[in-house]
Amino acid sequence: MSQEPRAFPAPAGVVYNTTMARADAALALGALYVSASRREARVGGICVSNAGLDAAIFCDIVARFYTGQSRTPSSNAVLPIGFAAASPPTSAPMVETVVAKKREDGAPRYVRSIHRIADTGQPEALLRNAVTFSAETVVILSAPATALARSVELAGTIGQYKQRVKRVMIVDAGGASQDAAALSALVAALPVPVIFCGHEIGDALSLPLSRVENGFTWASANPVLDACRASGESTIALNDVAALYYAIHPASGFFTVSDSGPTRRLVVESAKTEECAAALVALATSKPSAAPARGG
Amino acid sequence: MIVTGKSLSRRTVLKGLGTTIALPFLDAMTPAFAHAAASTGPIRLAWFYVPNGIDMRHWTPAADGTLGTLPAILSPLEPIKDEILVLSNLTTHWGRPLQDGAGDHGRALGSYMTGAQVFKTAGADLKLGISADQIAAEAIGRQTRLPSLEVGLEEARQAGNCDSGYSCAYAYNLAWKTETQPLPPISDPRALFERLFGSDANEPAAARARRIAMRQSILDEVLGTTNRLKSALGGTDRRKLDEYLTSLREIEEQVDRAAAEGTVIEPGIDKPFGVPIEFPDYFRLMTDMMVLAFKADVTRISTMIVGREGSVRAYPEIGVNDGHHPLTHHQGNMDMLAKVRQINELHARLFAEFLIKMKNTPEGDSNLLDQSMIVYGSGLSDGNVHTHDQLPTVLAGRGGGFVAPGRHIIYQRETPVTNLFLTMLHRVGVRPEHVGDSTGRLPGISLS
Amino acid sequence: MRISSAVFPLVFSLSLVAARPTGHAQQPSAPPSFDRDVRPVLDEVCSRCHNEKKANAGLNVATFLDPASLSAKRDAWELIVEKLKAGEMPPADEEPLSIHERTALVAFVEAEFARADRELKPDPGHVPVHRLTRTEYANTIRDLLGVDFRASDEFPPDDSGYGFDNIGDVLTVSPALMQRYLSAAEKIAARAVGGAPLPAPGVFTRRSRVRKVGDGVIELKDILEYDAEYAIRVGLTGHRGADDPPVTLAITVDGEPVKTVSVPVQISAVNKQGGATQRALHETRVFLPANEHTFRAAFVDDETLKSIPMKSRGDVNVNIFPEFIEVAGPFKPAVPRTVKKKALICDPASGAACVNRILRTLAHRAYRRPVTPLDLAALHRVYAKAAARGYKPTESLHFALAAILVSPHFLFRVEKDPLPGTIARVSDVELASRLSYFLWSSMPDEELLRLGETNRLHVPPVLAAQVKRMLADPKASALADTFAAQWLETRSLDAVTRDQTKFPEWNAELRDAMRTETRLFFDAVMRENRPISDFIDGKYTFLNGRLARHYGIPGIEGPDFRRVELTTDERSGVFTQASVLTVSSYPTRTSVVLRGKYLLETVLNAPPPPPPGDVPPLDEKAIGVAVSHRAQLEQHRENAICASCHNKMDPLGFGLENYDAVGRWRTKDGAFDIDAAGTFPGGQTFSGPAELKALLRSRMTQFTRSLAERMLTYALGRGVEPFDRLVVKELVVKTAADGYRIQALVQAIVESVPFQQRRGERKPGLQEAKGQ
Repeated sequence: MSQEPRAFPAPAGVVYNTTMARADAALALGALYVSASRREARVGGICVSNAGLDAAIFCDIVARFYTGQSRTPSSNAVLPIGFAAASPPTSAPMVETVVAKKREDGAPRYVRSIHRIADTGQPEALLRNAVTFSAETVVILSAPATALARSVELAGTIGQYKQRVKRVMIVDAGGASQDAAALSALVAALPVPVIFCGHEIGDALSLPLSRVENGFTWASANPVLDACRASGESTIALNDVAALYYAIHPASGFFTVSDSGPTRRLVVESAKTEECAAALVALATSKPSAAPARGG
Repeated sequence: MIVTGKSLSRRTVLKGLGTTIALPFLDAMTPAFAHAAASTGPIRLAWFYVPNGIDMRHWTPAADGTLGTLPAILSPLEPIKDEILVLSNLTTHWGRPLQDGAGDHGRALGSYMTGAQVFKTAGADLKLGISADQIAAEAIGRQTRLPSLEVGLEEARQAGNCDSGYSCAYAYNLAWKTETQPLPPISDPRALFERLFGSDANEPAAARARRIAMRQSILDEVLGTTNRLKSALGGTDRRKLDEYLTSLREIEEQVDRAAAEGTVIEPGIDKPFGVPIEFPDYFRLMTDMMVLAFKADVTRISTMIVGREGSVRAYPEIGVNDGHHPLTHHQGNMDMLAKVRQINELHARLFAEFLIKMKNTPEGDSNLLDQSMIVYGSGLSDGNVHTHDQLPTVLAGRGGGFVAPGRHIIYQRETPVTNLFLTMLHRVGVRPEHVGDSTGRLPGISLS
Repeated sequence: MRISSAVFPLVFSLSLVAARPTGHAQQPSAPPSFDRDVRPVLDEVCSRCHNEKKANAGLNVATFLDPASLSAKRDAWELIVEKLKAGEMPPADEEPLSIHERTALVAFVEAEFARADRELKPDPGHVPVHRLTRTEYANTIRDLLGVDFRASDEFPPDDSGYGFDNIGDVLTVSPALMQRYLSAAEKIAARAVGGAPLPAPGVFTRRSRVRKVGDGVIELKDILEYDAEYAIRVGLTGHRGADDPPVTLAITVDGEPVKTVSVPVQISAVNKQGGATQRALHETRVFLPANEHTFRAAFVDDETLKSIPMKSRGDVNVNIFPEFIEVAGPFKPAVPRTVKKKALICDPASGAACVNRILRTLAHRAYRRPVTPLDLAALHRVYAKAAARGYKPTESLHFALAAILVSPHFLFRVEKDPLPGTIARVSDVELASRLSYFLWSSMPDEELLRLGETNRLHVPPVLAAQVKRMLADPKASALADTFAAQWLETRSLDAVTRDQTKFPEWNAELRDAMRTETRLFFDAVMRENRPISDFIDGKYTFLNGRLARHYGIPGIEGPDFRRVELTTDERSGVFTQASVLTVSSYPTRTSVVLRGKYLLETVLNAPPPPPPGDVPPLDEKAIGVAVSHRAQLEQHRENAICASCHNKMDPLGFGLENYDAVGRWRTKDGAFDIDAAGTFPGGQTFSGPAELKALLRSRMTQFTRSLAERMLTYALGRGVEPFDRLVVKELVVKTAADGYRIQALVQAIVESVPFQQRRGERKPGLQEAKGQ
């Protein structure tokens, strides 16, 4: 018969590879779900690497909390949380605290759908699959480059990047350079612009924990806020949040990209540092918009 | 022996299965292997595709490790559960919509064995990928008379569109020889018989030899003609002629082989006519011929489409008068769910019968099932909402001592089902870098 | 590809409301503009739901506020316009647009579309070499050699695309098919040239191959190797009560009755102690071509059977039934009736000159173009090799002919490609094949080929006269057999099953009758050059006794079909024929959704989107028992997710609820009265099938466009693309101008640019944008 009715295009996706060990990462994750609820971004894929299972469970908790779904939605729409265990195992008090929180009746404080490793996604497959959605995607690496580099080595992935990935942002603060060999292999292989986000970004965009707490007045219990508190960071450097913000709003005017030399770097507009930090924290602590009704 | 049906008049019975087959590996020719050790005899690869997903609540064993009592849908495999692996959480990523919109059935079958994106088209620029069986057939298929065998149990084609803008070629063909060339399954019993054993089995040897020589002459001329024609064409036209040419060469090789061998494989069964009315009889008839093909070493690679994706077959034999596909969109309706489960169980039961026949067919010191790796699965798990991951997958057979069966293995999610296929190909000495979207071989199949 | 049109009837009856007091569309003197007619509506009305934060249906109109978006996002814009025109947007519970606002917006946007379309360069598109479908193969063999070859029994089904199985891009040659081609070529060649004497007759088929296909119906499939006479023997066993009336036994071959006889039902003197049961034998002799055949013995109109309990029907003490079929032969025909050897235009034994003549003639016709010396040399080499191996001249000819039949020049329709990206008229010889495979699903005949080879075929009056001639030829029934069966989806009847407890009358006889009715109806519309509105409400049809009884139409008996004028509103046109009503139903019940979808696609050219995965349940089991089908669906439609599409589909389907899942007229569904009232997309209401048809008839433009797109797809063997927009528009205009007569549509397609021209294939890489 005739062609099926056409669909309207989806917003750009964000693939976020994180160790989920810092308050900044928890905030970035919250910001991503807030943006998705506003249809300003799409959750392309979340992959936790060099971490313990609790980090993956935490990501799942945040997803359930922000989308209001107690169970994993169909994996056709949202990929599972990718997970590559740290070796040797590491301890991450921030996520462990949130995952272990209980209600008064002894049940977990936050609903989750990950209970064992088999509930998480294989990291390379997930990171590759996350860039195959027929719409633009930005990849944010804020973790050692091991898993992402492997996914890029998989047959066909480079082709997918060429077709669909707008840029890859690499955040120093997540330990991207810990696996130096993987990082250089990754950067050499990537066929799309790579933007480095150095520690100077977070240094410029640092906030006291209280500013974050002030934003979270809309929910009595919030896993992101709990994580920020449990992280023990009294000042939070917004590295991942900045990368995420730029990924979604490249024309905000808060950032420029230096293209001097072989590496491009993200730069905060010095005159707008305060305004930028305010926008970042506002996004990361916002209440998600209600899910739009279907149909129409 | 095979399981006979209820009434002779209602089904075509394959008589004396295996009684007069020319054994490819006569016992005298088989080196003496230590019992149950990894053998070097030929390994058969087969894939059974069942459509419209499975009711996973009654499929997935409760725990991993050694298989305990099997859940309802797998329960027919109970007698042979020491010969199977249940593999959970495998994924066919390219079945997902990924903003290509509706058409999950068209994508599910197309992407299953190719691990490739199903290019959304109702016809123009058909494009998929090379399926796992054809990667194997290309590499080792020349060792047997037929590089591979494609079988299906869906005789009638529906008119109209197959699925939301996807050409029917995607929903009906599991095996893809190239990115653009599907290999349609044979669903007519007589055609399958003739594909396996030729249509001229009863001819006197001298007349046959003379005629085969003429076939060679004809094919020679046609090859020449085609090459001349091809050189005058471009682009797609040339590609279409290439498909024709490749097929022509394959037939030529078969004719040459027949001329050189000068022998005819005696099938040992009557040529069947018509499609048996009851589905179980149809399934048995076609899989009996697959067993024959494996036993007589006509081929070592086969795919079987138990139903095309979106199949609307009704199963009145088991009291299911509604179409399979509409039933799987049960929206939680208990009656419909029960019927879906009945269909799932019927398929599993027939598959179990096939496995038992394979096991009861000796080969050397071993048996056909021990010498096989047979996948049973679907590119959809939940047919109601079209999920393409956490797929139902069984691997049957020991792959010549390679597989350690009798267990349930749960993988990390997103693990491509093509990783399993890659593992199987490695076992038969075919070592492609990848099968479609595979990320590596699947651990845990073998215990070593 | 669907093409929305600027000539859509502007029916906005849903929006009969006062204009909103916004005033922005109030300057009639100013020229229409995007800023005046479009932007304000999007910005103020649509954006309430389709904004950045709440992008319902994934639409954010912020990106559509720029006139450039009209061309950059044409597809999405077409969708917006469609929704507005159909009155679906804004939704009923939102503040409506005024007629003026809506009309002005639609008019402006469609005018812009039309302007853009006028600048489209004509593009005939590219069709790759086209492998013959199995239907085309069989017809071509028939016309080339006079051999009746059943390709559907010998070759695997062809995959389809765009709803048809003759799409060049989709047709491939697998090794399995190649093997079938080779063995078919050898068999066909032997039959075409003949010469082998008949062996001694014998009973060829085994009784064990006979299968029961229904109560009182058995079937046998077998291959006959020779064109000869055969004896078909049917054995009956069992008996019924002494007073039971005789029953009619029909013996058919491939669905054609060869003997119908009334038989008494008290044949067996049953020995209850277990002695042999007597049998009655019925035999008939028929001439049959070498092929696979289906023999069937069936009791027809067996009223007594209904009174015999299901479980006793196999009991020879209670029931009589056909027990076996045997085929014996081959016998030399009583009346000399050799198959005319079309290939043998002279005696090959007479020498090389005759062999050369035969080969040249065969190759010329089989390749459908002038023969080259290279073609001939190849065939002579095969002939010579056979002769050298000791084959007789006729036998050697077998092999040369087999070589023709597996040649790519025979199996493919090859056309010369113009330079990449350039456009050229196809040659007259190529045009001859395009024409014959479109109208006949077969090779060109001599007249057509001659006109092609003398370059006269493209001359418009010549071409038009040829179309006329070809449509009058019996071979034109291929359009009904292949085009119509796929367009109307009656080909799916093969795969249809029906719940035997609910529809005990469903069997192969009924299925065949349904199929025949629609085929004959389409054929009549085409041959009599009727307006295509006859498909909607033509007041005639074709029935045999079986189908007439199914319809409750008295006075028609026997297996032969005849034309019947329809006098009531119960039946008229194809959409109330049992075939269509059956293929758009489920095995156990009707489906207003499937039927609504069928009408939207086939008549209104407006397919609904596929359903989302997470739809709430419809309790099928309760239908007709606890609650009516309609009440169930109305409940379903209260859900907003479902409503957006089902509001379009279901009401149309309700209009056909007076027909059950096998197309029988009914006034009740289970315990409930049928209510066949509904609302058309756009708002008009109807009370039943007759009014529904009247409304469909009022949408002739849509229907014509739908049929034109389908027929163009079939004629070209490729999908209709966006660049075909103007061509389709022209087809609609030309058809309408001739009173919607169907041959006008056929002529218009044959005259069209894509049918007569060809674009050279673009270099790979230039087509990449297509997938977006």
